[in-house]
Amino acid sequence: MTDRQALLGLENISRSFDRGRIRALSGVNLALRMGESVALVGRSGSGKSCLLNIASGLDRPDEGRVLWKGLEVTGRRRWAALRHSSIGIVFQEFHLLPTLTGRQNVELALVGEPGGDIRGRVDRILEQVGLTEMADRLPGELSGGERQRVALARALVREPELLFADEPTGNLDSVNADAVASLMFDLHRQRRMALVIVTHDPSLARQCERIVTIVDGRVSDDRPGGARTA
Amino acid sequence: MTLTKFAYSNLMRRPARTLLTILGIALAIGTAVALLALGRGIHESLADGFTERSSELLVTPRNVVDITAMRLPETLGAGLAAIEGVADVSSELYVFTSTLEGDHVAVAGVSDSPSKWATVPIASGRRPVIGRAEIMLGDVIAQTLGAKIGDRIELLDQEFEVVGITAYGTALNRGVAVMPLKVLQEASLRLNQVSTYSIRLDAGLSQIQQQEIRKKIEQQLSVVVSDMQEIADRLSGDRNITILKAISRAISIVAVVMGALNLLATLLLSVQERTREIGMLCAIGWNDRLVVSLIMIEGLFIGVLGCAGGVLVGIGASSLFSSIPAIGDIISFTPRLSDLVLPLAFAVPLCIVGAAYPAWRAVSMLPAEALRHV
Repeated sequence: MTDRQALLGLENISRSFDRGRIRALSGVNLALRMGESVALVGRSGSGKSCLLNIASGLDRPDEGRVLWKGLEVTGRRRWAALRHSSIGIVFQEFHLLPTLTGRQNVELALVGEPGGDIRGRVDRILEQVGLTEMADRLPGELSGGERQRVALARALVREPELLFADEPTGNLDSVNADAVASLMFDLHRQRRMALVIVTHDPSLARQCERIVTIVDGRVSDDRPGGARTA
Repeated sequence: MTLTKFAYSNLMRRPARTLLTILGIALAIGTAVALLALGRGIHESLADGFTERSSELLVTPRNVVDITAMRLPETLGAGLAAIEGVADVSSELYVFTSTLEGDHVAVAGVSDSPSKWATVPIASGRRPVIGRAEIMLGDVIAQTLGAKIGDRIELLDQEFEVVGITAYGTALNRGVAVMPLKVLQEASLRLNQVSTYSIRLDAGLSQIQQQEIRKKIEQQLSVVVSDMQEIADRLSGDRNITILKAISRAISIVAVVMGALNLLATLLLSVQERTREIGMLCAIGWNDRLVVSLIMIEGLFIGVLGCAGGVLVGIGASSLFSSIPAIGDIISFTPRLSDLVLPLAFAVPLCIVGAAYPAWRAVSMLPAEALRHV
């Protein structure tokens, strides 16, 4: 393990649903360092996505706290600012707006940004994900893999320090899944951004530096993955 | 992609719904504008009607606002004429009656002075001969009664020959029948009674002198002296007109509130449909302010277009009503800028509230909850 600085810390996180009847997470502790890649694995319903939602501020824990670079993050406004400046998220279901082109979907992440070279930033990220030619197509005119690349571009256009990917290849065939995964890891290495992937795919998990296994809402295992620590 | 462009593209995702909402608001505002124009039109019709009949001062009894209920003794004319500064005095009697067929007719008895009769404009035919049972009809009442020159009509249990059609331009006077004062007094059993006196003051008097004469008349003869605008204001205080105006205002407010509810329903539905999308926007770094701004812009876009459309609908409807004889012949219906103030003063804040509530709903949910929304 290197002495890279702490980026995200989850301390004693618990979360339940349905008035406490469903316990999704119980006292989870997890630390993530800058530039690190971590795979969250576990069976369906084990609490992986719930943990990702709490780690990205999309959900609130019942107990415990989330630290960003050592400081506790609380409140919608603080979380929104953090997602705006430092966190990107990719979902299994892409969540693209069907009436906007690929380019416009990416531009959505920059709405409200003051001036600057917005078009240039969008062009660069579209080029990095290999979508320059298809940028002006609607999502309905793109393949699953291309749609996920648009979603990836949207998540990365702000150049976040941390990318969360919730089953990013879950809706893709094996060829597209490999292409998207390879792209994601390339960008992770090039940009030295931390990467947290929720996945069922063991081959995808093995490409990470750490593999954290969640069982029944608890961290049951935290071991090195196949990737070398940067 | 700017926020405004994104808001516009969201509205265009459901163009029919957006258009119908804009139309709903436009109709609500238009209804309110037209109703308020109606209320004002009644007042202005009275003022215009009196101004057309006389450019002088009108003497009326105190504490009476219904013109057909006004009673003044005919002897008062001499008293008025004796006051220094009064150049000319004429009188009129107003009676509201109906024909055997049930058509209502307002009848004005004009005093026998040739100068007074000279002010009655003729479209066709001639003026009545003093002392004869002859009558002139306004073109609207002539049309209503189906009467033409040479016909005989029965009013107040007496037959009158139609000898002329008046050429008045205002809705009020076009619906009035005119006959000699004495004839009307006898027919209506109001001998020696008149409703109002018109007086003309000496030429060249200053405003202060005119005011002094008015005050003197009011003090000496216990009457009210009004110019035409003042008399219209007094008559607008009539209970029926006040009730009509109140109803117009109430319906206007209801219409505007319905328009705002229409906007609220549309935006709520739109926010409900886009719950996951709003969750996604939060996930990609949008803060609450940006989400609220988006929905507010969508609401204001609909609201502003609806209000603008409403103004056009209101003006169009008022113009249309004016051209419909059954309405325009009775009430002048010219929309003014002032008619827009009340509906817009209600509509704009209501549209803001109508947009703010769905916006608040949109950001009151956790992004993860919104993303899970089915």
